[in-house]
Amino acid sequence: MNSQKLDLLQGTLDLLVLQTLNAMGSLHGYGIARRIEQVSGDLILLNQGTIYASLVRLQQRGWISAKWGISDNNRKAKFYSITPSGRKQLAEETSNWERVAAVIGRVLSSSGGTAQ
Amino acid sequence: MSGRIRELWRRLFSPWRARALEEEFDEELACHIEMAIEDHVRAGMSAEEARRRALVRLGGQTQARETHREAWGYTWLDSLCDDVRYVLRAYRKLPGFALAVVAILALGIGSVTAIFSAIDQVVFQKPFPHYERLALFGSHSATLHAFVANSYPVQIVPCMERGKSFEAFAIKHWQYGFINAGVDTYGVSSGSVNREYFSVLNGKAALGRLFRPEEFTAAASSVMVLQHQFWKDYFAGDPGVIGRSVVVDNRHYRIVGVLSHTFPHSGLFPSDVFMPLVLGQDPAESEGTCVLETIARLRPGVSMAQANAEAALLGAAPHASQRFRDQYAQSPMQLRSLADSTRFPHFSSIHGALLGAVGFLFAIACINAVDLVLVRYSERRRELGIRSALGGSRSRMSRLIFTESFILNLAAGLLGLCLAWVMKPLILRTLAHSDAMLENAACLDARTLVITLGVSLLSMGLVALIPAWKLPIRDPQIILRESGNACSESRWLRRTRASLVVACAAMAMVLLTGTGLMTRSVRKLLLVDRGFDARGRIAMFIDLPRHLQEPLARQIFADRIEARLRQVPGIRNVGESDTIPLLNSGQKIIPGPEGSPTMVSANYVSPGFFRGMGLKLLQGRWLPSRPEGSGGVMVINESMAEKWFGKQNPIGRKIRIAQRTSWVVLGVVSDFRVDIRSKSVQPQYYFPSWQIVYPRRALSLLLDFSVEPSPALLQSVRKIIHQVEPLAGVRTPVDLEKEAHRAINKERFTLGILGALSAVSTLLAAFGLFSVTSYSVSLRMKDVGIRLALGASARHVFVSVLGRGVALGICGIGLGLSASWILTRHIRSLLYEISPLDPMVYVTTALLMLAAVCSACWIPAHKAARTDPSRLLRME
Repeated sequence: MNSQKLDLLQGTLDLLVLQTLNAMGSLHGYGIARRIEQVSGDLILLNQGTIYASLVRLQQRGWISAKWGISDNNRKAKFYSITPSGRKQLAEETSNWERVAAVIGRVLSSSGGTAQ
Repeated sequence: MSGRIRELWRRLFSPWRARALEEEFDEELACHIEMAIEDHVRAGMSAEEARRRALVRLGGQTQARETHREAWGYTWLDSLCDDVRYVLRAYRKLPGFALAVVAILALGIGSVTAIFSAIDQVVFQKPFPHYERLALFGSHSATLHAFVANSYPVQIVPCMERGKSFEAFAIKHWQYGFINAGVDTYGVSSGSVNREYFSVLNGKAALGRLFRPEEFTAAASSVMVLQHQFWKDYFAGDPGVIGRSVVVDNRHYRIVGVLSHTFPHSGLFPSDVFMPLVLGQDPAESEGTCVLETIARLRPGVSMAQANAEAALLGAAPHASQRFRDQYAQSPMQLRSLADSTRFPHFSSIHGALLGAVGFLFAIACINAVDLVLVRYSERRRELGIRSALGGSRSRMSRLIFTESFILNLAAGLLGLCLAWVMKPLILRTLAHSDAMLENAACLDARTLVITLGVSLLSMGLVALIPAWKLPIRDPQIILRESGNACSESRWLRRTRASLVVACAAMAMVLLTGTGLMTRSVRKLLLVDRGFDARGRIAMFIDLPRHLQEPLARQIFADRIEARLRQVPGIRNVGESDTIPLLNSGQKIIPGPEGSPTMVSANYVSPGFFRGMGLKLLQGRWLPSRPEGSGGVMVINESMAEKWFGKQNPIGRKIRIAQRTSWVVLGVVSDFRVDIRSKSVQPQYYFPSWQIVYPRRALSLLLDFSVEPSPALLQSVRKIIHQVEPLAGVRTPVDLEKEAHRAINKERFTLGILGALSAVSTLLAAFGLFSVTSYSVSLRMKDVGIRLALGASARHVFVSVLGRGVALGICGIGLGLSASWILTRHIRSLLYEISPLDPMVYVTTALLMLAAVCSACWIPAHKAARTDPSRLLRME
């Protein structure tokens, strides 16, 4: 489809979901998927089914919790929200991500790109 | 937090909840798709196109479901299964390790289970349901100064008819009679019992049946149930007795059943045979001459005091004769809880000692298992390091350790249960005070299973915790850098193992000391001088038929039997007495030296009794075999002479034995002791059997054999008695030596169990030391080789290896001796005439332990010394 579509690195989807929930509060699966796509300026086109696998993983680790509720347009939907330990994990992962990104950036920007 | 726990719960049961989860997800998915469609429609797509786009973006419903299910997965369970598979695969390669650990743990778990559940059964479990609600009827006897469990129909019938406190009654009318089944006459105590008797007291038939309701009428009551022991004695355990006809006191009965060996229960008065009781037939019942033994089961919620008040009121018997009511006014009817009046074993020092000992054994077993597991993990530390370097978290690896411990302990628990199943009956035999206790001995009940489970969980925790805590994965780099040679034993491992070995040796030492003390104590008990030798002494009880019960007839019969038996080769002496030492005693209250009532032992004897018992004449002369004058005569024992006359000569003095009766002392004989633990001996007097004036129903003989009293010899004695009097009922002879041993059985059996526990503990401790020493030798093989190559003597190597092991052993011994010094005072009450700090025992057991320690280190030291340096160095 879109040749500009970005492939997500393994494990980053979880991070994105966590961050989304952290920013938006309580949200259902479709909402999370849409939000990620919007924020990325539609550069990331998710296979939306994978969102649910990510949600299950995060739930199993106790980083998010789920509850059935009523959506804006009066529909029954499952709402997810971040837990305190999820917030802690998010902070940790974010700083980790930044460090890794910085290192990789440095390596890639060094001349030649060959190993010493 | 609760969210996490819920989560864990959810995950644990996810396989079972899979359907529910999938349905829930379908709902969520449907919701997702509809929302997406709505969005697309709002953006201007047709409904059909919107739906297509929504599904495409989702990546297909089936795929979404698949990934969801995978994510939910059984990740937790999966990794557990992985661990289990991994551990089992490892054990298949190392069966020796797994077997050793399982065997050691099973030994610990099995012993603890057996002893715990035996003590639980003896101390905390009641023999049958509602036991605590049973009450015994009786009254306080002014003459005996004690509660006497006698009651009378005139008292009991009103209680049965109008009593509101009672649920059911077990009534027995006790009588003495003679039974004849065609061969021998036997004196029996027969009990006529009411309809509910066996149901209240939990009597069950081992053969045949118990009474039917219609047999409790005068016409149908000629049926009989035999008590188990009597059936074995009199009928030689013949299963064909059912349906046979027997005569008891001229009345014919048909045998319908034999009771199980667990009846009668402890504390209940035994009867040999049982018949149905039909009350209201005998006019003597109102006279208070028909004595009953009555047990009532109180209604639930009725207190003993309430029942007591009601019994006293209803038991006043307004319809009884005046004489009976006068007597009743002196001692009204009372109730006594059966659980109180029977001696229930309370938690005592024996139980404490056994629990302590088995606790030590358990600890030693666990420590040994921990030690083996530690070594294994140490050998695997490279692998663990790699796992940890590849991202295996500490908790993930701890989980592996717990899984391994779980598998080992599961196997050990099952094996331990089998062990407990074998051991429990043996232990129960020691602790149980009655056969009833043995009823459930063989089966392992739910309580036993719970105990095993608890013990296994405990050992699982112990075996997992230390390795998990001490696991060398702190820094994988260090481990990985250790290069290929794993010859250096890491310091933490060496130290941990050394302290474990020392702890084992110390605990084994405590057990050995305890066993040593018990051994000496039991040996002292065995050597106690009772004042007579029980060896070769046989007691024989003969029930006399009616025509031989009068004093004169009885005397003539006794003389004839004694004379005949004295001619039997192998019999040295024959004597008659109304009581036989160790079996019974004739207690009597007489006016003491200062006139106050004093309890003494009074026996009539034939002259042969003194010689038969081997008593020594200290002063005066023996009792004469014929009356010599008109007055009564007696021989007294040392204690009585001492108490009545002090240092004065008692010969020829008179002792009052009743208000108006005094007898002349002819001689003083040596004391003998029945209770070997008591320091003092009861005053005792003997009088000639020709002096008795009341009819007697039985004759007890004491036979002193110069040869081993074989069954054939005893059979010939029986035959001779029957030649003299065919109707005489000869009971099974009793070996006094066995009775003497029985008196200290409690100590002997406890010693047996303690001995076994401490032997196993010592072996385990030695095994631990052996494994530690040989492991370090195997790791230092290269060092040893180099040292030998450089000229160290084999002897030197041997001593250095041995020295290290023995040093650890000595640490343990020292620690164990100090612990014994503190702990053994708790078994003081089990020890007879020996201090818990007996130096002899401490030295002997320490030497024994040292020997065990030395032999454990000997083999590895020997192996080290015989290393061939050239071969070792060539191997590099």
